[in-house]
Amino acid sequence: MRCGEKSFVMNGLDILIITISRTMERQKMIQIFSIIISLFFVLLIYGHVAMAGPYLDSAHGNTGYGVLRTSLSAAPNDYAKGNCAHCHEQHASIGGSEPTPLSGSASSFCIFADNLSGVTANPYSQSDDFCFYCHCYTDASSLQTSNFTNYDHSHTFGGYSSSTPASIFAAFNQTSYHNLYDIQDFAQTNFSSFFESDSNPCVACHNPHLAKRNKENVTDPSYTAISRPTVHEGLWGDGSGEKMSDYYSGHYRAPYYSSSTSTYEPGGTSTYNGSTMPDYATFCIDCHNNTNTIYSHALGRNLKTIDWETAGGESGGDKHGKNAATVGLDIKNPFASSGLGVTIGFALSCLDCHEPHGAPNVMLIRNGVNGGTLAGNIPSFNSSNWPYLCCRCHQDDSSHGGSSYKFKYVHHLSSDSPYTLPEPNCAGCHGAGGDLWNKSQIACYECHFHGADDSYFASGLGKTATGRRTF
Amino acid sequence: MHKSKKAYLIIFLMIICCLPGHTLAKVEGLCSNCHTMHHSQNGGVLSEWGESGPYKALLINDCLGCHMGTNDGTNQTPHVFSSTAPTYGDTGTEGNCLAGGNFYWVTQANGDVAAHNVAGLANADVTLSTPPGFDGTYTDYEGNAAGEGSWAAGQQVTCAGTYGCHGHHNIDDSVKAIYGGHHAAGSTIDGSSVGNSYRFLIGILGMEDTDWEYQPTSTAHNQYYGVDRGAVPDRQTINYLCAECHGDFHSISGAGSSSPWLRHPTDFDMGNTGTSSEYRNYPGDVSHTYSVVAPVANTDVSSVISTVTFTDDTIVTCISCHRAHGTPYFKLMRWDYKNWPGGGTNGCNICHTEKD
Repeated sequence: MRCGEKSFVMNGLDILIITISRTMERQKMIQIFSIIISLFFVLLIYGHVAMAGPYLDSAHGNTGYGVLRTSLSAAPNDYAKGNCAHCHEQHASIGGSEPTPLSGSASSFCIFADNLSGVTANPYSQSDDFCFYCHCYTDASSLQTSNFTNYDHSHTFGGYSSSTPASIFAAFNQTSYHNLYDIQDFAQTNFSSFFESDSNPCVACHNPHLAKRNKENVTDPSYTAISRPTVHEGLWGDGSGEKMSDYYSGHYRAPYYSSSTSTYEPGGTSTYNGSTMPDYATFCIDCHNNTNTIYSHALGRNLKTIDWETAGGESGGDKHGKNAATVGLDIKNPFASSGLGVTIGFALSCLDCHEPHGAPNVMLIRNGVNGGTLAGNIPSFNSSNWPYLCCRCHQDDSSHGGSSYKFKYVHHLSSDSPYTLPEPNCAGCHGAGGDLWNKSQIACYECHFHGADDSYFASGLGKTATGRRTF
Repeated sequence: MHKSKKAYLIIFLMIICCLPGHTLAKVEGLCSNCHTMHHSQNGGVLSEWGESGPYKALLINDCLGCHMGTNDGTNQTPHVFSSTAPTYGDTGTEGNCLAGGNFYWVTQANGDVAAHNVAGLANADVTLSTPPGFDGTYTDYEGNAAGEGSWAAGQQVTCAGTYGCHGHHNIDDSVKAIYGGHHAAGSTIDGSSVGNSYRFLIGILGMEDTDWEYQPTSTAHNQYYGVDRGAVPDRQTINYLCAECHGDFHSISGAGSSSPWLRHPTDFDMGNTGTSSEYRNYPGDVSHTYSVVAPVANTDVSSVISTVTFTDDTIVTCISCHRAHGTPYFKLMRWDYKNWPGGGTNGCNICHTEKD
């Protein structure tokens, strides 16, 4: 026998021990097998019961604050809060009659009223959109018990408590708004995997069976209310890689919270890297990108395309997006001292400047931006009030001895100004007369909008355009 | 007997016992179990007879009289009405109710919303004077419409006949409407007669479970007949039976022909949905086991299926959600839908697998 080999010669005790041990092993095996088989059948029978989905975690399905249509809250139709029947009538009636609201006919998706009336522009009435029946607070008669508010983004996440729309319904009835007809029109073509001709336009951005109450948990994006149009079956913002901090790592700087110079959106905390908010940029460019053609019935034209992604300086996309400023930025805090280790090349969230539903300003421009409320409304694209928005982040002349809402310094005097003085022909652009700081100002909208460059100067003003991307 | 032969015999017998059982509609046994020549025995009425005889067809009782009792899995007569509360549980699949549920609950408080108000068993429905969604053009397989096409307000539903679910609609009397049904061979369920129709529902097809789904399992259950809906409805589906009184809930104009539906679809195969849709996860897991909680119909009813394949065997039916006779739950639902979530039971997620 070589060293390390076992002897195959066994005595009686060895055999007894092995026999007992094998018997025990067999019994143990049988026990384990029995347990596995039992578990298999338990899973087979109750597996579907044990599985839980996300509806109960959603704002609509929650048993504490979910949907509860008032007309179905009393016996005999006293459905539980969060029950499907508060939105869906499986037979277009309950108990042989139609509960309030009386829409008069069966509606698609078995919901209690039509998703969209077909109206192409605001002002909307409550019956124009199914969601308005509950998301109207006191701006109409809400069907939900108990009633609830939906303040706008500025108010909810930015702390601008004077921002007045208290309901989604009211938000859509402002100066500018996400046109519901346009959304439905666009989504049924571009997101046909889930969006049908009768789908509710709100569903393009929200999955009503998943959406949560971010409004009650403003710094926790796991409570996000949005779903990307291209990924409708999941929430957006709750998962890894779905925060603004992930959009362009190290390049997002949250704006100041309302009236603060030390706390930031969302929620007014010290976090400023976007890790507490969904990646709204990726979310919005599912539609608003540089390839989609989106027709606006309100404007009577296609929307400007938005390239938030392409770097490359003057040959790239918007510099408010991933494309970086090519020279410098005369910018205000918190961006001037961002703490990110970058001084240019910030990539903004769309919702830093825009409301998602509607706004008192044109182009859904927020009422409050980067810690302060706009000095006045911007009622139209051709308004002279755009400086009220731009100066919320960009230094105006008041930072350099001049006037508020004027931008001579950044255009002509700053070290990286594009049109350094002395310019040979001031009057060509600004007219004759006026002192150095108070010449007539070119309207911001001439050069600064999504996709713009300074080709405005090629329109016979006696000035050669630099070719700079100007947004 | 050799041990191995014994073992084979035992295995064989076990297999036989496990095979799905299916019964013939034909009643067997002594004539006197059901009939009496003179409604008199030794000058009196037997205690097991009904109290309001004599009955037509020399029967010893009426429909409810014979079909009243408590099911125990061995009874030869299906009991659809119990004098005491049946055990139902969360889904009606583990107690002593049968596939159609039980009329017991219509006799209880708020019974109108729990069961069909069958005449002779309960008062007329206080709220519903006619069947909701009634469409008199929904003629049955024989071409006859319930109520002869017009349902008078206040008219109660009956077990069989003109206003009933069972038997011929062109015969008013319940007994006459199913005349001969109990004696039919029932070996072929082709809808050609009452006896050759699924559960005496004239024209309807299906495979009948031996014990009327007493504690059904995925391998022992009724196999309901359904089709993927077309412009012309198939008058032999289990859904069409319901549509004979609730036509608006079934018609193309009332429910639609495809998503988005106007009313919850029936006679629609979930196999029509995308392969990644939540419906393709019926009954909530990858087993695709036939669910007796929310059963689906099949175009092929030649055998009982225990798993579904989404090829015309996952057809949504009215009775996927409801039981025809009654349940303890609002609107004859198979589970307590109304009190979900928070309480109740979510049976909807058997099909709507992501809605939980």
